[in-house]
Amino acid sequence: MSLLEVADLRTYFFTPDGIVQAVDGVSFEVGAGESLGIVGESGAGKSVAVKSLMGLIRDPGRVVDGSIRFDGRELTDLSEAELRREIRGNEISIVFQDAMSALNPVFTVGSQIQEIIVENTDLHKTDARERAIELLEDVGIPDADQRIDEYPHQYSGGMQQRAMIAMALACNPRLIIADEPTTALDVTIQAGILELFEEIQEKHDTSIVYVTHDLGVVREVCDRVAVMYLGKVVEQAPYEELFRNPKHPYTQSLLNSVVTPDERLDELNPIGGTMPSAVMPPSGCRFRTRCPAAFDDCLAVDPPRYQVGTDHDAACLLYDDGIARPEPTLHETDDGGVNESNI
Amino acid sequence: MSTGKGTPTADVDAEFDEDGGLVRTLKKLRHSPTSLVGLFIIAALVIMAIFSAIDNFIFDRAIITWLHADPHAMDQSMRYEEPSREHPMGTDRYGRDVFTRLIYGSRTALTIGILAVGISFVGGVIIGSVSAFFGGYVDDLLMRSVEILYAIPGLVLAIIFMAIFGPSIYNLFIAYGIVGIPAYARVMRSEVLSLRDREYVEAAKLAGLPRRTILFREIVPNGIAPVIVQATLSMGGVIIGAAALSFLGFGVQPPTPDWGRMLSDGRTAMVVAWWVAVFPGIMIFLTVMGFNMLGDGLRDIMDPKMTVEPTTYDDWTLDEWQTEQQTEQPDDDIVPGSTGARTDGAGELRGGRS
Amino acid sequence: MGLFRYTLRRFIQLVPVLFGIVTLTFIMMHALPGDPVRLWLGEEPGQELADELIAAHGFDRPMHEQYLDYLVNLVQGDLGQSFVYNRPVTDLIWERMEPTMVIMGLSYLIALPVAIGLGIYGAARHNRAGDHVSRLAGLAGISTPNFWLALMLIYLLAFNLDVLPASGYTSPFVDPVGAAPLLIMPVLTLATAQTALLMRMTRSSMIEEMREDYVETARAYGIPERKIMLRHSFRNALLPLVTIIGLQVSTLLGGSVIVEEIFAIPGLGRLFFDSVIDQDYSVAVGVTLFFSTLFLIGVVLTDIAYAYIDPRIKYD
Repeated sequence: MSLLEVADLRTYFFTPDGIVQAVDGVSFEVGAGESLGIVGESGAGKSVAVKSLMGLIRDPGRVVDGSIRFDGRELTDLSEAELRREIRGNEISIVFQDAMSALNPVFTVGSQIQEIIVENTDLHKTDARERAIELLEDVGIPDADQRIDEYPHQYSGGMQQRAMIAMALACNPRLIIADEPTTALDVTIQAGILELFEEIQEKHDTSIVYVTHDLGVVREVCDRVAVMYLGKVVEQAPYEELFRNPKHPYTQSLLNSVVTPDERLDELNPIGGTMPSAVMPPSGCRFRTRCPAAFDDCLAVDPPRYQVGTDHDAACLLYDDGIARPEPTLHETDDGGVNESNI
Repeated sequence: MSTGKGTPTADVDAEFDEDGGLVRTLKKLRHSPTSLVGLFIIAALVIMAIFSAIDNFIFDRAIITWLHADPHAMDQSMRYEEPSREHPMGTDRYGRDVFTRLIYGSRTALTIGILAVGISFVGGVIIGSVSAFFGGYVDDLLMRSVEILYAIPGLVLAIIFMAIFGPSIYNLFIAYGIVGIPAYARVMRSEVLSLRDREYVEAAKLAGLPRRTILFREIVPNGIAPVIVQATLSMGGVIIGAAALSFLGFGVQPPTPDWGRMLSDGRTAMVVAWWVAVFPGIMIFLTVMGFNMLGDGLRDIMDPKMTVEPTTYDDWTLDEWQTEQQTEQPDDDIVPGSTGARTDGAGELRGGRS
Repeated sequence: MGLFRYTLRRFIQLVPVLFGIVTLTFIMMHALPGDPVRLWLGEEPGQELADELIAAHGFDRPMHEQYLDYLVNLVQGDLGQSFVYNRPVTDLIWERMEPTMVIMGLSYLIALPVAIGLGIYGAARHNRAGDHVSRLAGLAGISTPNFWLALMLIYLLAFNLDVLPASGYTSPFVDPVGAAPLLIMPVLTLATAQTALLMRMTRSSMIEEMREDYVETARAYGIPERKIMLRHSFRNALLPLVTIIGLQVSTLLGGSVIVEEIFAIPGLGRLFFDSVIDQDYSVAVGVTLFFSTLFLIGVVLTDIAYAYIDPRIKYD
């Protein structure tokens, strides 16, 4: 049984301009000690999806449907107080993109970690402080016993992110969500942070969900990848399989356009055109407006996820047995065939 | 905008393109019933004030006398009459009708408010923008002067001013105009500081426009929205302040009907005639409340952080997107010195600060 | 150490502004109408006596010399002589300071907790009924003219219900029991608008802070909402609040003129008002200067508090 099973999750935002279907029927699983990468362009709903897991969606947003099973418990049934006491911080914790603003500027780094420990465990203040120093040492902060009393602005960007990670580790969670953990950092520092995550994963057998639009991160640390587009998971596969044998036209375009996997998707606009609005998403397949391989049926049918290989599925009608279509050749084939993508 | 951002809906797009920001801002006022009530109160007062002005100067109070009573007519036999059908708000020490005097008082209050705010506005905008734009010694000198002015309590400064130049309605609004300058100068200065280094300003500089033109044609119109909000919000304070001066005897002199003055007269007679003190106070309160309600709503609309509508939800924020559009617009399609540049500037003004 | 030097530096930075204020008050002094000699000696002074007086006070000397004298005297703590009381202005100010400070202090003491409580309440109930009500109340508070409020309080509590004395002042340090009823209405009058303003400020900066990323972090780590508001957000929201608290010194000093006049309290505001009426201008200008100095001290204290709360501000 997987540690985390998300099925048909729907998170909508009820705004004056309409209902934003930010996450619309997302399913994925994360095994114990496994790392899953959720990739997609900005606005694909990745962050909303993972924040939904912890019940962090605020008004006007709401998780409207779906199930989130964590270690056999249904999280959507838990009350806010139960989530707070039993899940947040001690079972699932999260590392945000911008550590500078995610840390409270007027409290010392130590006191913030300490507070989380005191809140979520039986430890008392002095013990919590000892634990906080340990944690800071673990994440590679030099002179941790001194720097624990410094304020976030006295830390460098990389160190702030390390402090954030120390916070995430504070109560030995079984799942860490890393929401664009390296996006705000210099390239030179990124590698160190990713190594730290891998170290943690090995040492504590923690599961990690990386939310990223950086395929470099995915290549570096993820066992499995889920590709999201406009509130839906369009393809899911083990990392190797996805990169070697992408099935969904969206994934293909993504990989195809990326010169090296280190390039970031948002800077490249690989597909051409812009993502449609999530208030009034296209009918049928949501990717059809930008899809080079779209055909008539895509207009009407919302494609389910088809099994296209071992532990590999793709939500595209091309793989519906009832509809006879040739395998698309958009992705560079092994013999170096020319791609036919529209860019 | 950046390629990665989600595109908002077609209808949001259309709405944004069709009506300018001003209409949009006013449309947004729908969401804020308090500012609508404020607007209504102010409208009613303006109508009263205009009526009083026309009646007073053209018809010599004939209309109001015909309608109800002459606000200036004294009648010693009618001193301190209780509110009745004939005098709904009673009569004062000289037997004058309080109700009509209140209506006439709206003219005084609004005139003082508008003129004083106008002086503060113009003075503050000039000092603040020049200070920020030229920086260095100019900035130091101007801002220190403003600080000096700011350090003296407004009421105290106004009283000294009235003592030097003599109590009259003109000196009253000049006094409060000067007292208000520092606040406006500060707001304007910080706006200009944030706009000074924008691309379109650089473009205008490269195009060789004179600095004064750049400042007052390109920068100031872009940064003026918060100053307008400041004006609406400070109008109430000015009206209270002016009434306070009149109340203390330094302001409007009789027989001009003025709420502050009426209150001060009512004060001595409060035990026998509560109405003379109660009603003018209510009028001041309502007027100030009206301006504050409107200003409050305007500020919320113009400050995206305080919007009445929800704002933050991941990267789907339509509001955020619109704000971004507004700020980016002037940068993108700027033609230095052309009318296009100015229209875009106005676009941001209408859309509000970001 | 750092804090001490920071404080010292802030006070030194005040010198140019203070100098400007002194210059302004000097100009005021000479611009104010009325002949002090005539005021002092009555309508028909003997010429010799008048000349003597003019010479004694240096009114016949060139302006710049008088200005220098004024500065020198100020440095020595000499604000001039009151023509009405025939005493040094400095003495009068010291004498009249207590009531003003008592009323202002009590006003802060009431306004701060009430405003902060209501402001946080409004922010916690953002856009719900409780928020709308407190918001309207706040607007009403800043829209109520304090002089009218004072009159209404007197009419209601002193005349109609006859529970409080209408005016007067007793030092609470001498007779606390006797002073209390006399203080209630003046303090209420001053505190109403102040509370309303502080409340609005607390509310809006709390709402802003509740949208910061660190709030989401705290939520994600299971910190209870109450603690997030009262500890995390409030500490940050205090910053703009502290600024307003400092700036309010000016508003309250201005308000003291009205309140002390209405309630017949022998404080600085009343001293100022009377001196303007009596054309006792050295007193009026002296009080103005004193008020400005108080305000500037308030601003420096604010800065120090700010630096204390916000670790990002360096002392040097």
